[in-house]
Amino acid sequence: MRLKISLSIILSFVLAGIISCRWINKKCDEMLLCTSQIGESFSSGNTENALQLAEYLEKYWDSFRKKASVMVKNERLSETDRIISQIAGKIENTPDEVNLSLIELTHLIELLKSSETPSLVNVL
Amino acid sequence: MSIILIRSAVLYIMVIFAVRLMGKRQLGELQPSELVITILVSNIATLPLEDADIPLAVGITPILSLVCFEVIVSSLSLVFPKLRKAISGSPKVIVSDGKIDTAVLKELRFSVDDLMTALRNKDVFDLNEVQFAVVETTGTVSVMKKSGDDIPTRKDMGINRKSSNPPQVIVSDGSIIVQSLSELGISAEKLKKTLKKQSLEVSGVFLMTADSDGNFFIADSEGNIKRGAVQ
Repeated sequence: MRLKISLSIILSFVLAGIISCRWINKKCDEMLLCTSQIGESFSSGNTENALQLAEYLEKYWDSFRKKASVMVKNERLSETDRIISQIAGKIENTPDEVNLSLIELTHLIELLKSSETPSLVNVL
Repeated sequence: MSIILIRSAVLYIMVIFAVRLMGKRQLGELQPSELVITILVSNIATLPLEDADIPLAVGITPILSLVCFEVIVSSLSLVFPKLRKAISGSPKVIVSDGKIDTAVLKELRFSVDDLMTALRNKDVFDLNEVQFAVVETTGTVSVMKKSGDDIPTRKDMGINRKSSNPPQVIVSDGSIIVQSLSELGISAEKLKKTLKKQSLEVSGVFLMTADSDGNFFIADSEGNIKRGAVQ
């Protein structure tokens, strides 16, 4: 009986791990796409579109963060949280800093994505 | 504050479940792997308790995983003796035929003081009394005394006595334990009749035991003791 329970628990953890990894990868890919679209819109002078995308990204991140906080440590999410919340404001008020913020955001999302993907380096 | 309280309750239930899943062992009889898991589980459980930023899943997953791995490996070691030997080792004989095997003591890094302490823990104060001693895989020492130094048994003294099972608890804190009654072949009516003869009700009994010969022991709620036979 104990053996069956143990095997079931391990199997469910493996499945949960696969599902959570794929979910995080998918969400991060979508956020990276949105971030690059913000950058393209802003660079081409379409500030209004960049702002809309930034607001959309912020809402998307909020929804992602609520679910991801169940499995990812808060410290990995809090820095990204801070940058995303500032992007819309920077597009409006300090346009010089937008590209730097977007680069930083891209880096953090890629870091989040890679850190939640099981690889030899991550495990070690 | 309430979040920490809820997390504490969840982790408490998880740890109890994990320990129950591992099975029953006395702390001093744990195999090395079981001892390691027990210590790890207790350390890991503190992490999400101390830091509310750590998700519960990050605490629960390693606890349950380690315990499940231990159960799976210990189940496999029942089937594969070599695995059992690789993980738990094998018992080592340190005294055989009254002679100390110093090579094995050296291998085990067992000093003379360790040996004497282990023997004294088994109430052996004279090495001359030891016929055979083994260091078990749990680290405890099992000792067999020489026949002449051992406590005589009824058999040695030629006293015949029928073996019987120990008494079982049939009433605990005012409640009848049905399984024990059925194992002893005593009906609930018989039990109540016996208690009535002792001027007692079931609810007034703190503890009652009975054995297969029908002898009972009662401690009522005021601590008074009564003995007799179930009729």
